Amino acid sequence: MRLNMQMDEDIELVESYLGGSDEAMERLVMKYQKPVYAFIYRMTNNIEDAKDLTQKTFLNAVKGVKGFRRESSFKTWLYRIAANTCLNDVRSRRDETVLEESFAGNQRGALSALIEEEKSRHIKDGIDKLSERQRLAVILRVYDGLSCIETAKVMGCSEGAVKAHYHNGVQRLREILKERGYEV
Amino acid sequence: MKFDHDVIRELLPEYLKGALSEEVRKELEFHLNDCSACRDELSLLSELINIEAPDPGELFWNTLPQKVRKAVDEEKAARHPAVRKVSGLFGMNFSLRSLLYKQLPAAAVAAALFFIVITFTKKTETNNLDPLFKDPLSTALLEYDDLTEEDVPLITESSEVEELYLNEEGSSGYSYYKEVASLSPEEINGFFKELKREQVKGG
Ligand SMILES: [Zn+2]
Repeated sequence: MRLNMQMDEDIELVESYLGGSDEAMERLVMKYQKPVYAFIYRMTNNIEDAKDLTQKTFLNAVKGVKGFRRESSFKTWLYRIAANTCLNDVRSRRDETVLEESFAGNQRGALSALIEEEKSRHIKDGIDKLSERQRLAVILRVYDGLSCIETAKVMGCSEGAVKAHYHNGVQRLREILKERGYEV
Repeated sequence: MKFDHDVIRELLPEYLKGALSEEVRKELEFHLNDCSACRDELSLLSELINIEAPDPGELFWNTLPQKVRKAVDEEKAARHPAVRKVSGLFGMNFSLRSLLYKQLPAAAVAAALFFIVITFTKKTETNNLDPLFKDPLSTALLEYDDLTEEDVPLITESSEVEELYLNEEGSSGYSYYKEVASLSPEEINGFFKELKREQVKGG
């Protein structure tokens, strides 16, 4: 019931934006900026990238809003754009990051160990080591609380594939933590 | 109802979210009591959830909606000069009189090239919706530095060239708006750079 009202509200806002109301667009950004940012942060594990890609996501969403066909909720559609924006970015600079990885890794280890709890850091590192699909499935299911069906829509794959990626992702994470001496 | 480990594990995210029905929740907790493997997975998931994304701060949240709006507006604004620019260049017609009487070799050469470009564009653009961005105005082919507006008068009366572009935009569904909207930010930046370069050159 509450969910339906939420969806109606989003669609109303989309329609008033298409009808010329920029305020409606700002309200949509306001409403979803925090979850979208948190999702992207978990995908990228980098605060500056997350800020940048959050803005890009909304820009891409506004530019593409005419293509929102209401086959899914606005939220699911927006998450899909966020996921694509992240993956594009990761792919477009994969070559650079391979070179920088060892430096970044060392720096992060030295600096953030002081701030972060050891285990949290290992979990974050573990998430970084998952494949893109596994990471997406785990983050969307666990953090964002999306159902398997919603996650499938965001990832553009079948529900069965989501279950498999999710399962493999969690198992891989457990293995990584075990390797580092944690009991999970 | 009896769940196996796999079903339980699939339900754990919903369990953490508090989204399960009473009945399913009880069944799941019953299983967790007996199964340490599933309990371990639950504790891993709750640790995952507890890792928070660092807050970028109020300034970021308060300004993001306006930033997005501004970026959209800028693209809209940029689109208009872009369209004007295009129709300005392609709509730029060569008065035959000016070519015949003024005898301007540079203009004549440019005009010849221009019509070649236009013919080429006319042929290809029906299939390829990307003449504007793949080959921005074919600037490489044309040298505008030597030409003034007098040399190449800008004619606003109906002309074949202008009609072509008006029709393109109106009837065939071609629109610069769509074109811009379908571009990636990198492509758009590249296009703007190209336009700026052009303006500096005095085109
Ligand atoms: Zn079990």
